[in-house]
Amino acid sequence: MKQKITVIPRYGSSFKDKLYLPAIYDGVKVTFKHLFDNVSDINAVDTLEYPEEQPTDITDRYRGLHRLTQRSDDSIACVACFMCATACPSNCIFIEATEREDGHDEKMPKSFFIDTLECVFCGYCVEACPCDAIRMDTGIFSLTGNSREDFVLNKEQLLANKGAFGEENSCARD
Amino acid sequence: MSLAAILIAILSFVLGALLALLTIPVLVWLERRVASLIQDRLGPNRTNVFGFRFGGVVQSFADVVKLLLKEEYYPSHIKTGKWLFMLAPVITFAVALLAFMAIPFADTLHIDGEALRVQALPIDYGVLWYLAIGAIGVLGVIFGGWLSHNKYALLGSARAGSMVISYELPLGLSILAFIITYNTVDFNAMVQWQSGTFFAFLPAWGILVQPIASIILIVSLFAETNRNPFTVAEGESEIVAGFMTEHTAMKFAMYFMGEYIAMNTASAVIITVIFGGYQIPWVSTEMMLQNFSVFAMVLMISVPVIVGLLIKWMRKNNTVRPTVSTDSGRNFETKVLTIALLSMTALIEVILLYLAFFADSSLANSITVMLFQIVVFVVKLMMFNIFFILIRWTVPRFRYDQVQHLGWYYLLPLSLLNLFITALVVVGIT
Amino acid sequence: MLEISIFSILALFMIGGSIAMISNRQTVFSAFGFLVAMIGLAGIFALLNSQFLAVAQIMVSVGAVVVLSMLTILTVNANGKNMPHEPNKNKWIIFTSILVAPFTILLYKALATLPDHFSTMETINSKVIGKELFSEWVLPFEILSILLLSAMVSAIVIARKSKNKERGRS
Repeated sequence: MKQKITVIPRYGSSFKDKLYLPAIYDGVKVTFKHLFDNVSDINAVDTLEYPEEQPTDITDRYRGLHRLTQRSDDSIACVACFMCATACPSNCIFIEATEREDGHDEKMPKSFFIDTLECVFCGYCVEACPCDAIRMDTGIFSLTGNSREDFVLNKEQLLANKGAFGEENSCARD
Repeated sequence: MSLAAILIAILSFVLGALLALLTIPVLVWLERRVASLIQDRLGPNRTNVFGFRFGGVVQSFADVVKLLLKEEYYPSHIKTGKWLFMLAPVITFAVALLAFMAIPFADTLHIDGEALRVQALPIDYGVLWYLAIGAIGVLGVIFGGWLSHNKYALLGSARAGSMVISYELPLGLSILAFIITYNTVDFNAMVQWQSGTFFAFLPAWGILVQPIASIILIVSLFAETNRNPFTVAEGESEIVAGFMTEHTAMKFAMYFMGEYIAMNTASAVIITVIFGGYQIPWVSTEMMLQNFSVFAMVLMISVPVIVGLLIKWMRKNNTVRPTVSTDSGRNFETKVLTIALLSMTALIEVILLYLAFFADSSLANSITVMLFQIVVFVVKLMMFNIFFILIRWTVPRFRYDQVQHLGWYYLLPLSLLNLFITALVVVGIT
Repeated sequence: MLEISIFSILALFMIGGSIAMISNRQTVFSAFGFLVAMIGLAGIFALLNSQFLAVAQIMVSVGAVVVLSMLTILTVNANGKNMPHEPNKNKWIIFTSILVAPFTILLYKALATLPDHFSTMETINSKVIGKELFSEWVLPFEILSILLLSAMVSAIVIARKSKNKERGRS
C-alpha cells in the first residue's frame, strides 16, 4: 500500500528566520492592526456586555441548572428511586423518600436537595433517571447567593425551575 | 539660587516623582486594556468614581486599595532574616524609582544666565547613574528569592541574577557606543546632539545614526526589565511566580510596581538615547525660542485640531452598543470631559495668543517651550510603554537557555563589533 | 557640620556592614553587609565631590561584585549549615583587630599629613579621571590590565576540563 506522506518544510534555517526581527515585525503588525481597529471603534469588539446583555445562543442541549419535572396533573414525577443519587460522581444529591398518596406510584421524595456547590454539572443524574424526573434544560447558567446555604436547592426550588426549551412535563410519566 | 531655580528644581522633582509613580496605575491599566484589545476583548472598563471611568483607569486604584488592605502574611518557615525578606521588595522598588530620576524631561532652562536642569536629579552623568543604579535592582530580587526558602523562588532569583550578568554587558557596550558617538555621558547633551540632522534631511536620532546599537539597547533593556519575551525570572509556566512566590500583599505589590517603574525607566532611556528625548524631529530648542511666534502659531493651530480629534474619538467610543440597556453614565462623562477639554484648549489658546503677540518676555517663552517639551516627552514615553506592552502580547517566551544563548553568542559579539566600528568612524571623522 | 554628620553616618554604615560581613554565619547577610559597606563607600566618594568614582563604585562593587557573589551563593547553596565550623571565630576577629590597630593609627597619621588639596579639589568627573589616567598613569593602568588579563586566563585554565580526565570518564 502506498502511503501518502506530506513533508512539512522546516523553517528557521534561513538568515531571515534567524534574524528574528522580520518575524517580530510581522507579528507586531498583526497585533497592532487588532489594537488599532478596536481602539478606533470599540463597539465593533465582538463581546457581550454581560450583565446588561444576556447571551442568546444557549442551545437546548446546554446543561444548565437542574429542575424536577411534573406530571400532567402537577404532581412530582420523581419516584425517589435514588438512581440519580447513586450515579452522581460528586455525591451532591440528597433524597429522603416517603410513601406516596396521590395514587400514581408507591414512593415520592419527602425532601430532595442538590448542593450546587458540589455539583459538577456532568448530567449523569439526567441520564440515570428512569422517570425523566430530573432535567437540566432550564437554560440557567448563573446562580447567585449570599451564603453557602443559598446554593443548596430544595425540592420546592427545583420544582419551581421551568424548562426553557418547550418540554414542560415529564415524558416518561403522565 | 534664585527663586526661579528653586521653583524649577521643585517642579522637576515633583514631575519625576509623578511620572514614575502615577504612571504605575496607568501602566497596569494600559497593559490590561491593550492586551484585551489586541485579543478582541474589552478589558477593565467598569470601575468608576461618581460615574467617571476615564476608560477604566480607576480600576488600578481599586487594585492598589485591595493590595494595601490585604492581610500581611509571612511564611512561617522563614526563621532568620525576615527583615531582609521584607526589605528586598523595597530595594527593588526604591532603586527602580531612583534610576528614573536622571531622565531629563525638557531642555536646560536658561534664566538670568543660570542653567537649570529640568531633571529630578540635576546631574550631568545620567547614563552612568542609570547603569549603576539599575544594576542594584536585581539585588532585591536575589535577596527576596533566597530568603523565601522556596525552590521556585531560588530558581527565579538565580535566573534573574544570571540574566543581569549576561545582559548588562551588551547593554553597557551599546550605551558605550552611544557615549562615543555623542561624546557625552549626560542624557540632556545626548538629546541636544540628536536635535541636528545628518545626510541633510534625516533627524539625527540614535536609531538612524546607530541602528545596531539601538536594537541591542532595546533588546537588552527588554531583558533587563524582565518583560516578555524574556520573562525567565518569573516564568509562570515553569517556576510559578519565580522570586516572588512567597511574597504577598504589599510586598508583592512592591515588586510589581518596581517592575512597571523599571519598564517606564527603560522606555524613558530608550527615547532619551535613541529617539530624540523630549524633542520633535528637525526642531531644536533654540529654533523654537528664536522663532517663538511661529512656534506659538503652529501650536495654536495644532492644539484645537488634536483636541477636536480626541473629542470626536471620545464621542464615538465612549458609548455602548444599542443592544445594551444602560450606558452607565457614559454620556454624562463624555459631556463633562468635552467641556473640560474645550475650556482647557481655550485657555491654552488665550495664553499662547498673549505670549506670541503682546508679551515679549523670554522667561515666559522658555517656560512655554519647556512645558511643550514635557508634553512631547510624556507622549513619547507612553508610546514606548505601549510598544513594550505590544511586544509582550505578540512574541512568545524564550526558553531560559535560548535567552542566555542570544545574550552571549549574538548580542555581546555584535555590540563589541559595533563599538569597534563606531570608535574607528569617530576617530576617523575627528 | 552637615558634612561631618553625613560622613559619620556613612562611616557607621561602612563599619557596621563590614563587621556584619565578617561575623555573620549566614552568607546572605554577609553579602548584604558587603553591599551596605560598598554603598557607604560610594557615599563617601560622593561627599568628596568625585561623582564618577561614586557611580563607578556602585557600578563595579555592587552591580558586579555583590551580584556575582550572590549568584555564587545561590549556585553552590552556601547555607550557614554547609559552611565550615569555626569555633573561635569571634576571638580571632578581636585578636586580629587588636593586632592591626597600631598599623591603623600609623595609616591615619600618614593620611592626615597629606596636603588637604583633596577636599578643595573641584568636581572630579569622568573627563578629568580619563585624562589623568591616560596621560600620567598610563603605564600603571596598562600593567593593571595585564594583571586582570592573566587572572582571566588562569580562571579559564582552572575552569577548563582536562582532556585526560574526560577520556578516562567516558
